[in-house]
Amino acid sequence: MKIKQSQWLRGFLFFLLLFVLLATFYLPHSLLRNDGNDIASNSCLECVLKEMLLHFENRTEEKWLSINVSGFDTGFEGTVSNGTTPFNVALFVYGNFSECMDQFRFLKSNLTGDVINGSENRFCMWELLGGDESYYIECSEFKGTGVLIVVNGHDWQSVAKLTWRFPTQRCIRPGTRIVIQTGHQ
Amino acid sequence: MKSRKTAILSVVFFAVLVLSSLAGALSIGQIPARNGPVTPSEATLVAQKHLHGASEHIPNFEDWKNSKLSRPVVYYFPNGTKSAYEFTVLVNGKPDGFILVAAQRYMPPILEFGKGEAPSTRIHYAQKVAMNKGYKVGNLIYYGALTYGLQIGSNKMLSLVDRKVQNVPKNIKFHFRKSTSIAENEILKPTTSRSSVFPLEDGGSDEHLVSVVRSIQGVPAWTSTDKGGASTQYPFNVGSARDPWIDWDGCAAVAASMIIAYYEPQLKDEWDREAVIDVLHHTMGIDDNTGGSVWTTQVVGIENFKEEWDYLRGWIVYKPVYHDFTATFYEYWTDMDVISEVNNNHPFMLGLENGGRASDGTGPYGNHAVTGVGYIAACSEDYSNCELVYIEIHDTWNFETHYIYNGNWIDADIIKVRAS
Repeated sequence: MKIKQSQWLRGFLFFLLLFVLLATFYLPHSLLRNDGNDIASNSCLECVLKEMLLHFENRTEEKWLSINVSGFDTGFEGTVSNGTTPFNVALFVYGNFSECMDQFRFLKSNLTGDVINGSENRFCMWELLGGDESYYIECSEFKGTGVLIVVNGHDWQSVAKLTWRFPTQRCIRPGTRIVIQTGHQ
Repeated sequence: MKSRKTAILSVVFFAVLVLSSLAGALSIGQIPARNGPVTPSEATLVAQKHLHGASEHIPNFEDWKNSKLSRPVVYYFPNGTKSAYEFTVLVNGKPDGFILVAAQRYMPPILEFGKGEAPSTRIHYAQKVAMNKGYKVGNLIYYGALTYGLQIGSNKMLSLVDRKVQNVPKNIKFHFRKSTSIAENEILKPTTSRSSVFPLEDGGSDEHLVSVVRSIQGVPAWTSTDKGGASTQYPFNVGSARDPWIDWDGCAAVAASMIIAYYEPQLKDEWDREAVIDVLHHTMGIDDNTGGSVWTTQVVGIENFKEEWDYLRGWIVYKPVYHDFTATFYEYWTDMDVISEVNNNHPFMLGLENGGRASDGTGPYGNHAVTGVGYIAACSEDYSNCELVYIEIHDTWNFETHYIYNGNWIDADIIKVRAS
């Protein structure tokens, strides 16, 4: 009987040891993986921001937007140049596209000006406003993120043209055309 | 294989074209007698310096740091004067690229360089053709734009590109746009100090430009060959079978298929080529009656490719696809976008609006999508500033590579593709 109890005890201790070992190896690793995902996710958002700003020169960070935009994961607010003229540009990258849409609607209702043009579909919405100050606002899905773009300049034509420099996966920006490419020989 | 060789030769071929466009007009006349020839040892010094500069300053040329140079191959003008020294760059003893150094002092020292096979590697094919046709073979000829060849008589040569007989002028005169010539270069002044002779250490005072040739290796050049008009419905047409749409599968599908096959080399055989194109035709929503598509659907089609392929796998297609693809559209892009994509081995889609002809006369392309696989750029000697001159394309119409002059279109956009 004593022998049997001792075997049970040894078995219990063996499983306890196994559990501790597994916990030691797997738990921190899984936590690390989570951390890694967070880091990867953050760096991807940074990548999106970097790609959005790829074609702008002389970037200077400074706050210019009078309306507070919230909830974004990373962003840029400042002036950029198209080579000759400086523009105010704000870019906010959201991990969640619906948050970006909410902020787009918030901006839309708070910015004043004549609506020159606009477009709205499932993955991209934008509006071009003219007046003393011209604005372009856009929220679009880009590589699994939501990107909110705000451009401010003196005339809406040059503001519209500046928007062509932002890469996109979804938006047909103001003044751009769709060309049907058949490639028939 | 033939296509690859043609591609490599074409790169070299058009690098010469670029050089000539940089140098200015090529005209017939007398070669200036002043300055004289560059000796092979002087040319070797120039090439060694360039080797060092390229490895330090140009992305993806880092492996040239510990490379070696072959003995030079000499090219001649048609009148028998030396025109260039070609050095093969050897990395770990294997050919990795080439540098072409001027053989006359009035010329810019570096005529061209790049990764890939040296132009002279093509000479054996030309020699074979010459022998078969009974021509008496002479010097290796190089005298400017479109002029790589093997001399066969006093005023003819066999082109290294298409192995056709061409007439050559007796006398050549270069007019270089840039004033700096190899004669004014410090490297050719007698010196015992190696560190003091290299022009790239002169703080960029030399103004001449260098032709940089880059090409992504491993991107297939192909078109679709399966017929259309079948009553079979998608996906039962996927592969070599006739398609339910017209014969033409759509330029965008073919262009994107070459990018997919670059990242998924297991899909390069004929059946898989047609399968990838058919699947892309479906995911891109290409018009069955015209083969037409727009960039928005092209982007979506590339991104949905893997999902569709995985869905078909096991009952229509059998090989795996390992990568997920993302695509990004650029309405506005710069020379550096193309240069950077190629330098980082990312083939891309080039969408043309009213595209002109390729430099070999193919086209005009009209509204067309092609695959971008390389470039020829004119760079300052310190590579701080490069101007894109040609984009190397696979035009979806054949199995060859072509070059289109940068700007030979009304408008163009690019779609960058990433595999993860």
